[in-house]
Amino acid sequence: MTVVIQRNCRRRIKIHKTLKGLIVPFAILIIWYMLSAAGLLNNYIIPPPVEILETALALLKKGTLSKHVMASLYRVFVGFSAAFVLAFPTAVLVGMASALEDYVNPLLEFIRHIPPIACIPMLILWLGIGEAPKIAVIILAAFFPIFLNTLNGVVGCDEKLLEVGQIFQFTAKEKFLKIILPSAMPSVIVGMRLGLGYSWRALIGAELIAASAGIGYMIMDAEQLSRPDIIIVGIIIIGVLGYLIDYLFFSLTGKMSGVKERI
Amino acid sequence: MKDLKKTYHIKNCEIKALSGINLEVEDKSFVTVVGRSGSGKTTLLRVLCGLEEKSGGEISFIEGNSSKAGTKISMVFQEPRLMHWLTVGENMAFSLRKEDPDIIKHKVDRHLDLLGLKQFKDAFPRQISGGMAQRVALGRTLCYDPEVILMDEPLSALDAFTRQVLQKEIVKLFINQQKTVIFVTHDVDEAVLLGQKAVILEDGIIKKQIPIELPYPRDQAQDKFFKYRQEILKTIMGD
Repeated sequence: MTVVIQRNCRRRIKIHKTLKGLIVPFAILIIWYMLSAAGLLNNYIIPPPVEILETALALLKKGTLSKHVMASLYRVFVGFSAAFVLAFPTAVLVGMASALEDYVNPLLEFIRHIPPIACIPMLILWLGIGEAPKIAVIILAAFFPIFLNTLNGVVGCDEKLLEVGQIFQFTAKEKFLKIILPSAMPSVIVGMRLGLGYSWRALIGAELIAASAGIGYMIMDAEQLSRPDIIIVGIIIIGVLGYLIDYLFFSLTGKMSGVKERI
Repeated sequence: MKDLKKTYHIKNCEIKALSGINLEVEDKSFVTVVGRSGSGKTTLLRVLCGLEEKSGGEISFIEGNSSKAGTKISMVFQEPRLMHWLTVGENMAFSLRKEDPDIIKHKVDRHLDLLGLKQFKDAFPRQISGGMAQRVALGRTLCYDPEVILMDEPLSALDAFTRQVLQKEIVKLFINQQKTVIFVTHDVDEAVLLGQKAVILEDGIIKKQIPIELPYPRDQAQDKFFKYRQEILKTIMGD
């Protein structure tokens, strides 16, 4: 009974929170609409919201929007997965063998401070103008948040919990799988969330410079065609997709690892 | 334990935590170790269970007339040290990793029942009280089924009422399970209430060993209880 009441209460709080979060965007939309209707905004620079909606629907109907969205999502998926496959084991290795940290830290600190976008010209020279440089930019962007947070999680594992494993004669593998990894999970997930956000941002940057498909490309193309409505549709799609991906990721990982409440 | 020593080297300073402990603990007996803070109580337990390397001396487990290798030792710490991502039931089963799932389930259920935690089996550590968490830690140790249980002030962080309840439960468990227990405490009453022998530590050496010949369960209002209590206190205070 108490559990049901608590669950209902939590649901109600969540709905309230969502509704509160919608107030400001709606207010902006209404103000935008009113200013456009009153002729106070130059429709060529800032088209009215209705026109943006019409453009979005037209792009959807033609299949242009889905084509660009799919291209961007594909790059994020591949790049982010590759970043995780590289960053997670590296962080675990460095975290477990603390002697390694001294060797790799300076190099990693050096690379960490280089914005991935700055590497695009070099990546194009090395990897051509296909998918590879864009995916490489995402890997560079997502690697460090995943690496650093995983490393923090592994290194920060409570020594007292490890002693419990020692008392029960755990092997090094058992200590890692049963104590270190689960206790590092919240940090790993935070790193993955940040990495996902960073890779999304880096991707759009890469697509703005060198691409023939993707939301970034769509925005760049619209700028050359003087279509601010498409630019705004692209910007809104980036925000909405970023939000949705983060939400889906958080829900999924939260359910899988039970860490949702602790982050 | 024969001439057991432990020295810490902090910067250029040498700190002798144990300066030659000679102690015989009988199989299936309950020994309480009591002393002031810094007397070496916790270090003694940490050395015994292998969390700290000894600096000298000998620890041997003897069965009959010969020494016995591979004695199963476990420790209950001052804090419950539960895995916060596991439920109470999963925490209890934490040490049972190479056994059949049915046996694990049976062992866990039995100990949940024994410690009155059955209804909290699926609760997470953050959802239970400190006293219950310490019971789970005790249950985790009992599921491991060690021959020797070391307890490092496991009740010191609990309120007086919960502590009394758990003291009674520990006595009951000791009588039923017949394990060798070494229980560290700074509470003299607790030392008399639980132990069959009280070992008084001071500056890393044993100052006195006092056999407590009182039947369980013990009554704190008894004259004999009071006498043992006074004797331990006098030894600690150096009167």
